[in-house]
Amino acid sequence: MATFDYAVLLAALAGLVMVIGGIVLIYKGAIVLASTDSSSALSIEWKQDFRLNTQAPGIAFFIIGLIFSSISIYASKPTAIEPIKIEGEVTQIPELVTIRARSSTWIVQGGSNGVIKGRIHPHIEDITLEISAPGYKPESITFSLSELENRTVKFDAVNLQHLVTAIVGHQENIIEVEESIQPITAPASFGAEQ
Amino acid sequence: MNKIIKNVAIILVCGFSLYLHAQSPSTIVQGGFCTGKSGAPVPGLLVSLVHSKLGRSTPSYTNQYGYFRMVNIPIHKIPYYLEVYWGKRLILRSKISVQGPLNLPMKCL
Repeated sequence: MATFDYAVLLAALAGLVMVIGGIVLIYKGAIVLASTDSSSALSIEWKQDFRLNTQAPGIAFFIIGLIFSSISIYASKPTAIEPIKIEGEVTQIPELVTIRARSSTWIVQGGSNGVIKGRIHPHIEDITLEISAPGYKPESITFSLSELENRTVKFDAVNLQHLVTAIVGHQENIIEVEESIQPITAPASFGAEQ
Repeated sequence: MNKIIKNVAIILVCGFSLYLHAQSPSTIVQGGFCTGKSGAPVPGLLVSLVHSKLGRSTPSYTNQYGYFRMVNIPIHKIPYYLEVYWGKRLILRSKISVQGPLNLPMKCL
């Protein structure tokens, strides 16, 4: 979880604590929801747009709690990211072709004393397609995002250089599994390629 | 009231310590593959680590020199299975123990 996630979680918890705390305080009689006269009413006003007036100030606990919870729900809403489409052709490859897309590398410069402190803004400027197939030399093509039409990466026929003919797997190279393991189609749960 | 705050603080500190403890150390696994006939490096092979408890790793592909490199592999006392695929066809499965940085020798298939 990132720092922002912790902040959202804490805001939600704070809202919950305020609401539950308000209920507990009402139950114990520390605050009352009885109406006061209009001269001592709680009044919250924001410019000319928003005005709240209550003669039961204890309700403020619930309102503040609700604000905390609402803000955290709003802040945790996933932002819509516009997808990038990929269209192209890899010719004369009878093998399974894999295309991986990666974005720019963001670099943080470190000092000569080994201390690294920096900030990156991970916005995508260009996208690199890495095309590979077993036995073929991998190819990389880089596209600038600002030059794409309709956010679509289009590449013409790519012909990979054939280096090695298919390897015939030998059964002695494949050991039996002693426990249940996930199939190759299972989503990755750890590690990264470099 | 002070007692309640103290207890909450202790619970938070203990929880955070457990969270840090749960972050197991990780390492790198790298190696390479060549053909059994000519000894030429094999590019484009899919290499994946699979573990009975941790699941499956992000796949890695061999480069034009036949090498792959995987990072952020959790160190675990239970061995991993290293699987190598030619497309969708499994051509190698071996057991490897990951106790630190692992540089596997070039293996000819």
